Amino acid sequence: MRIFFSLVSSEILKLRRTLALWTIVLGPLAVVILQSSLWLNAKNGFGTDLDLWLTFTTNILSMWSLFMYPLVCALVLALIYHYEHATAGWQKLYTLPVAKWKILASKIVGALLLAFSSFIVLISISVIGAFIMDALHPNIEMPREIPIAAIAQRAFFVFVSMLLVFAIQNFVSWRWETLAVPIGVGIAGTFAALFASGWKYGYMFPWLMGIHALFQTPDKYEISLWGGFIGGVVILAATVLYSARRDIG
Amino acid sequence: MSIILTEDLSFKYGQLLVVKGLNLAVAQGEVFGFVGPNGAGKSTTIKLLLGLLTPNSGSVKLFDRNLSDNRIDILKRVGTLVEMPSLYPHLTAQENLEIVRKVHRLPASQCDNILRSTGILDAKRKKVKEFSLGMKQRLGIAMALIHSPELLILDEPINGLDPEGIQEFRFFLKRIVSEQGATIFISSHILSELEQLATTVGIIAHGKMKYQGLLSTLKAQHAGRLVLQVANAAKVIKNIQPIWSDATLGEGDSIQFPGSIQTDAPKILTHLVHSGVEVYGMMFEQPNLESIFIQLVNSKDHE
Repeated sequence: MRIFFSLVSSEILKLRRTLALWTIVLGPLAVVILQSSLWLNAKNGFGTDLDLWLTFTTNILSMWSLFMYPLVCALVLALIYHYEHATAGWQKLYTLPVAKWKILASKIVGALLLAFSSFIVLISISVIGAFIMDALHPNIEMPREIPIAAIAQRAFFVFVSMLLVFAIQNFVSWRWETLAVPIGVGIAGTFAALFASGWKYGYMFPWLMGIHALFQTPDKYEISLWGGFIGGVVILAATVLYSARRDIG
Repeated sequence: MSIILTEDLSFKYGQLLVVKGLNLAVAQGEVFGFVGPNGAGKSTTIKLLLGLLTPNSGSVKLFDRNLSDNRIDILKRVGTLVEMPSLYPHLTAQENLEIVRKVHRLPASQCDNILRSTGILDAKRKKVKEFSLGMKQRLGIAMALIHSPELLILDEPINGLDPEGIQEFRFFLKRIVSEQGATIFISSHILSELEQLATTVGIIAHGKMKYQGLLSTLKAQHAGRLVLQVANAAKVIKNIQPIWSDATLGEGDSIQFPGSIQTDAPKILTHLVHSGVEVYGMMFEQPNLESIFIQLVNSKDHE
């Protein structure tokens, strides 16, 4: 197990000074800036009936789960794997004295930590953005008490249900050496989600599972949440097992 | 004990058989030069030795143990540099080494030690993308040596280095052998590049081993030829062929005695002078390693 943690820590070390690391900051920042701008343009504010914190963060999370997170996921995973594809890093990694399955598993854990961090960054920047908005807008007054547990739960639901998208992007980024394929899949999935949103089985489309889990769509969100989670775990496990049996040419 | 032993090792890429029944034996403490032209199967063999590829048939034993059953224990004792060093250009030399050090669970001080012995300690905080090719090779070697392996497997480490870099690299490897006593398996597509380094060589072509043994034996097996410049060579050769049946006409007025060694020269010369042949010149041609290599590679026993 210590070897596995060493591998994960090596994976985290590899992220230093990379675009992948910047992406998990810039992606959330873009969403929060966009949402804050929309609110700042609302001249009369939003009255007192709304739960401002939950409304603001849920808007951000919906934008995040529908557009930005799938793209961040695609870019981050494509870059993480590209560092190995471009440097023939696999050959070095698979000659290390560790079980073959641990090589890819540690990379996945490192990437998952990064993806999870993007949610933490998103919530943190959302809170900062809300306070800035509060200071700038005369009619928006954010309550002093932040419902952090409710926000975190919604974010967690999105993260868990989007595990299937993460797993698909992970497989594609590992399997194809060119950056174009995983990024293409990410863009195609995100666009397809726009059309699939009107479809009655849209909640089963991986790129829409996050938004259904976020809004807890009655009768559907459990399928999105558990389907995304279990589907993701199955694909990730299958990828790891496949990688352990595959030759490194 | 053989550090590397393969028996009837074969590997196919699709339908193409690239390694054909390879029997390889590398003894402890040897610097083994694995030579063959591009596409001969060198890199594939190295990947088979490291468990990166699974053989279609045959076996690989390292340190007298089957690789397939003892991969992790064996790799703990092996340092590798396969093709270009796998380095992360956005990281510093020290950070690149840290990745390997953590897996081998070595003390942090080991990074500095190995950077010092590879002569790049001063550049430890420099990003690898700012390194020259020679420095990258040194760092690649440092990563391969960080855990003091007993066997070092290097795949074409000289590729792309300038003559000065090659000389420096050769000197550096010699030092590693003398200081650490490791067995080195080094591949190249140029035999002469390994001449000053390897004690034993294996020559591979078309996936088959053409020669395996001491470099000195290989040279001895390919003896030189005596070339004599004489007057009227066509007439002279008729006179001497009953005695030296191998003698042939060479370029100009010359006669060649293939397979002759230098000690044959006085006997041949005395005979010719006594027969009244005017000898203008005498030359002993020793084939260089490249011509031996080309001869072996093009020999007909391949399919």
